[in-house]
Amino acid sequence: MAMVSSDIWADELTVALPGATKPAIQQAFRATFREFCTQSGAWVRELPLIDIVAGQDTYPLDSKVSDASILYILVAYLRTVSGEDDHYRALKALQTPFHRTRQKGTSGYPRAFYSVTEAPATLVLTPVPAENIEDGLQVYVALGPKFPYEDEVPEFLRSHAYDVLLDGTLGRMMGQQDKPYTNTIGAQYYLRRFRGGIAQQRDMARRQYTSAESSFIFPPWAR
Amino acid sequence: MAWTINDAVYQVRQIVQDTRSTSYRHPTEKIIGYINNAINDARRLRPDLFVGSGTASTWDPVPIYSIADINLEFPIDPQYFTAVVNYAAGWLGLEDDEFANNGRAVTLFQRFAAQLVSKGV
Repeated sequence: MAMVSSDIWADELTVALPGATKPAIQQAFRATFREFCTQSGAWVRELPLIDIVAGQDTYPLDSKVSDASILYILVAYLRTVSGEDDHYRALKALQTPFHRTRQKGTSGYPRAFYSVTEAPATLVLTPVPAENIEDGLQVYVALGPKFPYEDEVPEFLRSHAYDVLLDGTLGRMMGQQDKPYTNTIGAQYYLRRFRGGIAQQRDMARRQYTSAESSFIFPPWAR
Repeated sequence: MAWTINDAVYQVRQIVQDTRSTSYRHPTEKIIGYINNAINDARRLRPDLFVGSGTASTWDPVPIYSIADINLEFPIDPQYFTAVVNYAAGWLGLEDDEFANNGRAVTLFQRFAAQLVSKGV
């Protein structure tokens, strides 16, 4: 993933925030970027295919990503190969411990998955897979900045969410009290734009940056 | 070239008209002490000025300078250099009995605060 320096934003923000220092702007930008990633889930990555191992239900994903931290698992597919055809079946995401206990079992293919609450980048399959499946797991995750920060941002956000991050940082800075750049009305204005930008980016990411209205396709007999 | 503590001391002397190097009215140590006070008050009013530039550290500790540090780089953003100078000059103006100009000292203190927390100069 190509990354760009956050200085691109910091340099422009310096003009709009008289009296602000660059380290303070960078700090606000980091918080804004983190909030943007968490709220929008717009930084999406398809992880390399994972081998499913018979009898192993837990698959840590952290090692699959080196330049970011995994915020949450968006979707996981069970991938099977039949002849020359790949088949993908979406695994159902489970959310409550109650469901998890009901899904215990060791027979057949996994049908669902859940994440470990205190280690969200850990995927647990259920039922426990009964056989090895090479490259059997395809996972999409939402990413956020890693710690410690390196003040780098995915390049696609420069072209697709430049103003959103600009607005968020401006609002965050202007909302601070007793600074030369304090501006409560400006903070409300820019944070409102930021929230709108987050919603738009979330929507765009879910549609894979296409203009599709929805994933539904009319069957041939109904066209 | 970056500002130094010595630059601040020099400008403070300019404001209080203590520029005769053969017989300064105010010792350099004392001016540096007021600069330390200014930096501490700046830390209280504007903690963001002490945010570290690195991405791992959050805060730079507040420095305390002595005469031995006079050639060190001024510790906060240069746009607040004059605020610190004004503060130190204000204290010197207050303590100067013979040529006291209390109105000027108060003005310098007010400028310090205004420069830090508002768009004032």
